[in-house]
Amino acid sequence: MFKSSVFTLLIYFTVSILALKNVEGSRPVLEKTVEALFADRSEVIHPATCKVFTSSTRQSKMCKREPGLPNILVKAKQQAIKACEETFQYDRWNCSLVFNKKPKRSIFKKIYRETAFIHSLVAASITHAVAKGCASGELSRCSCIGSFRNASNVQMRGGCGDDFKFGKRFAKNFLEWKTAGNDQIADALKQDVNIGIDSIGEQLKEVCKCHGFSGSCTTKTCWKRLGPFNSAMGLLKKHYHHAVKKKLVNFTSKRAVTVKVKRKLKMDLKNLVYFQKTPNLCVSTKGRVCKDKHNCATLCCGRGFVVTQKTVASRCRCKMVNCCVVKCDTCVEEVDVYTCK
Amino acid sequence: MAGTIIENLSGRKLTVLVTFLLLCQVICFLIGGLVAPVPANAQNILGTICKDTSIMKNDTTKWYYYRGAGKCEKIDLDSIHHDVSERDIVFAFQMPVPRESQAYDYSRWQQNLIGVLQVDIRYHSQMEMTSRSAITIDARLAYRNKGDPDDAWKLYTQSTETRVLDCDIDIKSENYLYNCSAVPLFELGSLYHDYYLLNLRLPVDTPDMNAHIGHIQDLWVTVINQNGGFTKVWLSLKTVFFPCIIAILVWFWRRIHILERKPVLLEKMLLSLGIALCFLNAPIEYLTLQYDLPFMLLLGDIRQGIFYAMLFSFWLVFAGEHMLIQDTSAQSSLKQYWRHLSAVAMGCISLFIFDMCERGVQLRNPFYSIWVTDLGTNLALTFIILAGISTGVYFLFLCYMVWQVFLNISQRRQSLPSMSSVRRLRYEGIIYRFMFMMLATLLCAALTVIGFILGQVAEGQWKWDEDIELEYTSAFFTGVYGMWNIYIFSLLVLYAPSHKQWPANENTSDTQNLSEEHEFSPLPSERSEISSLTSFIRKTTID
Repeated sequence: MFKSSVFTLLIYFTVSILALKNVEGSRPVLEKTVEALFADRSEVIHPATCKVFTSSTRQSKMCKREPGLPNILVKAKQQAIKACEETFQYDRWNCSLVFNKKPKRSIFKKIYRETAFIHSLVAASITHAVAKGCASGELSRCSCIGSFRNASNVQMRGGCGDDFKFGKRFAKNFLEWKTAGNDQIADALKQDVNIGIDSIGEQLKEVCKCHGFSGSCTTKTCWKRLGPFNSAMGLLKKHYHHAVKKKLVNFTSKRAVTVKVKRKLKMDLKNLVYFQKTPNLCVSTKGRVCKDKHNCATLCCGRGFVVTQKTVASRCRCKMVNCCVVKCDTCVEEVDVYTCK
Repeated sequence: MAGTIIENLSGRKLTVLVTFLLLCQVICFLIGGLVAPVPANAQNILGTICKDTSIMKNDTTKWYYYRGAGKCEKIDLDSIHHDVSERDIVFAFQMPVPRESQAYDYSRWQQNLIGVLQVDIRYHSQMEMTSRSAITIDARLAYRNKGDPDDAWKLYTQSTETRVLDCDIDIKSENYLYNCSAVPLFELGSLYHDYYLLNLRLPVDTPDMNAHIGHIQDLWVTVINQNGGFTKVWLSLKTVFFPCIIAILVWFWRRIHILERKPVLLEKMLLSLGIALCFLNAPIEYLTLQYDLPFMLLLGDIRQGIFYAMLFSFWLVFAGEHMLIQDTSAQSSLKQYWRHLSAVAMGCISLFIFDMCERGVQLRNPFYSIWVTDLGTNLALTFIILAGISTGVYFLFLCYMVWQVFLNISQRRQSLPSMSSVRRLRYEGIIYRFMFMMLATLLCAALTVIGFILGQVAEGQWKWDEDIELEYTSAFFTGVYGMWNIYIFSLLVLYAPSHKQWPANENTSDTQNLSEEHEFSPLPSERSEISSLTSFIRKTTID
C-alpha cells in the first residue's frame, strides 16, 4: 500500500516535471532568442556555442558551422540596444526592460507595443549585422542568393552580391521563424519580425556603374547598397507609433486560433501588431530629463518640470585630426536642464 | 547580264533563307537568355580597418589583410586610442570575399575587375562636411596566387589619387550618414591573378589634405567583374561566328574573282566590312586564359570601334551607290564620299583619343581616371561631344541620301508601266528586294535600340513562367551580337554576284521598247556585270 503510494507520487512528480519542461519548451525559439538578446545588457559570455545567449540546438549548430557568427551576434545585440536607447531617450518608455521599475512587469511577459517593437528591432539588427558581416568577409558561409543558374562554382555564375537577401534569410532561419507556431501570438510576432527585416530592405539604395564600350552605359551593373542602421531605426520608430492593437480571441486557451482571426490578421501586414495595452508609464517619468519644453509636455504627463542650470562640458570645434578620428576641444557652457516633476 | 544573288533568288528560296537566319537569331537570343548568367557581377566589400605597425609607411612590401595567417590587428574607429595616428590606419579589402564556406579565387574567365569606392560619412554637428570636397587616397594593390603562402602578397600597382566626393544629407541628425555618390577607383583590364588585396590609406601630408571630408565611418569598395559563365557563352558564340564569316568572305571574294570585271566599290566595301567583323569576332580572349594581357579592354573598344566605323561607312556607300550619281561615266570610288565619310572618321578619331586618354593611361596606372580633374573632364567632354556631333552629321547625311534613293525609285516606278512586262516584273522585283534590305537594316538598328532601352528600363531577369527564367541582359547582348553577324552574313550572301545568266535583254524586249534598247547601247561594256539595279538607275538617268 505504502509502496504503491510512493510509486504513484513518484510518477506524479515525473509527469509534472516533464509537463513543466514541456510548457517551458513550448515557448518558441523566436521569442526566447529576442528576449535573450535584448534583455541581457551584460557582457557575460555564455558557455553555449553562440556565446551571447543560451541557444537552441539548431542555433548552436549554426554557430558551430560559422565561427564568425557569435561575434556578429554580439554586434547585432549591441547595435539594437544602443539604437533603442538613443532613439527612446526622451520618450515615456525609455527602452527599459520592465514597466514602471516593477521587476514583475517585464515587457516580455505579454505582447505589448514595446514587445512587438523589440521583436522587429532585433530581427532588423541581426539582418543588418549579418549583411555587413558578409560584405566584410567575417562570415564565410554567405550564399549566393539571386543566382538561379546552377553552375558548378561561384566564379562562373555570379549573382553573389546581394548580402541583404542572405541576411534576411539568415535572420529568419536563426530566429526559427518558420517553426514559431501557428497561433495568434506567433503570427503577430512573425509579422513584427518581417516588418523589422523589411525596414532594412527599404533602406537599400541602388547604385549603378557603366562599364561598356569606351566606358559608356551599353553595359551597366547595378548593386544594392546597405543603408545605415540608424535610418532603419527611424523607420522602426514610426512603426512603433503606428502599431495596431489586436484582440486575443480566446482568453482561456490563449493560443487557439480560428480561421476568422487569421483572416483578420492577414488583412493588415504593414503594421506592427500587439495584444496588450501598455500600462500607464507616467508614474515612472519622475526625475527624467527631457529634451525641450515641448518634449517635457508629453514626457512629464502634465506634472510640469523643473529648470536647472548646469555647466556641461561638451565637445566643440571638432576637427579631423587624423583621417578617421575626430578630435574636439572641450567647451564648458551653461545649459538649461529640464527635469520632470 | 548577271546581277547579284538577291536579284536572282526566287521568292521561295529567299523565304527559306530568311527563315533560317531568323531561326539563328532566335537561337542566339535564347542562348544568352537561358544558358548564360548575367554579364557582370558586383560584390560589395566592407573595408576592414587594420593597424599599420610598420615604421616606414611607404614600404610596399608590408601588406595588411584580415584572412589567413599573419592577419592584421583590427581597430575599431569608435573606440580608438590616442596613440593611433592617421598613418596607422589602413582600410584593407581582400578580394574576392569567401562565399558558401569556400575561399574561392578569381578565375581568368572573369576577364576584368572594376573597383568603385563608396564612403560612409557620419554627420557630426560640429564638423559638417563641405559638399564636393576632395578626398586623397593612397591606394596600393597587391596580388597573390593559389599555392602561395598567405603573406606572399606582391605589389601590383600603387598610386596616390584625388577624388571628389559628392555628398548630401536629408536629415541632419547626429550619427546619420551622408548620401555620397560612388566614385570610380580602379579598372583592371585583366584578371590574371587569383587573389587581390587593396590597401587604402587617407594621408594627411599637408594641413589641408583630407581635412574637409567629415567623419569617415566606413569605406566600401564594390568590385565588378565579368561572369565566367557569360565569358564562356560569349567566346563560344565568337568561336562559331568567326569561321562562318571567314568562310563566307572567302566564298564571296572567289565569286567576284571569277568575273571578268574588277570588283566595284560596293563589293570592296562589303569585303572590308566582313574583315572588320572578323576582327571583332576573332576569339583572342582565349589568350587571356594563359597570358596577362591588360590591354584587352582597350583592344576590345578598338575592335568594336573599327566595326562600327566600317558599318556606318558601308551604309553611306550603299545608299550612295543606289542614288542618282551625276557623273555616270566614271567608276565610283571612295573619293566621291569623302565629305560624308569624314564625319565617320572624325567621330571615330575623337572616340579613339578619348579612349586612349582613359583606358590607355589605365594600362600604366589602373587607378587613373580622366573624370576626376576639371581639365580631364573638359577634355573628355570635348571629345565625346565632338563624337556626338559627328554622329549627328553622319545620320543627317545618311537620311538625306536614303530619302534621295527613295525619291529616285518612286520616280522610276512611274516609268515602269511603259516598259515591257518581263523587264517590268524584274525591275519591280529588284526594287522590292532593295526595299527589303533597307527594311532589314532599319529593323536591325531599331531592334538594337529598343532592346537597349528595354534593358535600361527593366533590370535583370524576366520571368515568363514558373520554370523558365530569362536573363534579359545577357540575352540582349548575345541577341544583338548575333543579329549583326547574321545581318552581315546575309549581306555577303545576297550581294555576291550571281552566276545565273539572265535571258538577254535584247531577246525578251518587244518592239515597244526599241527606243529603250537604243539607249542601252551607249553603256560601257565593262559594266555589264554590275548590279542590275545600279545599272537600271544609271540607265534611267540618261533618259
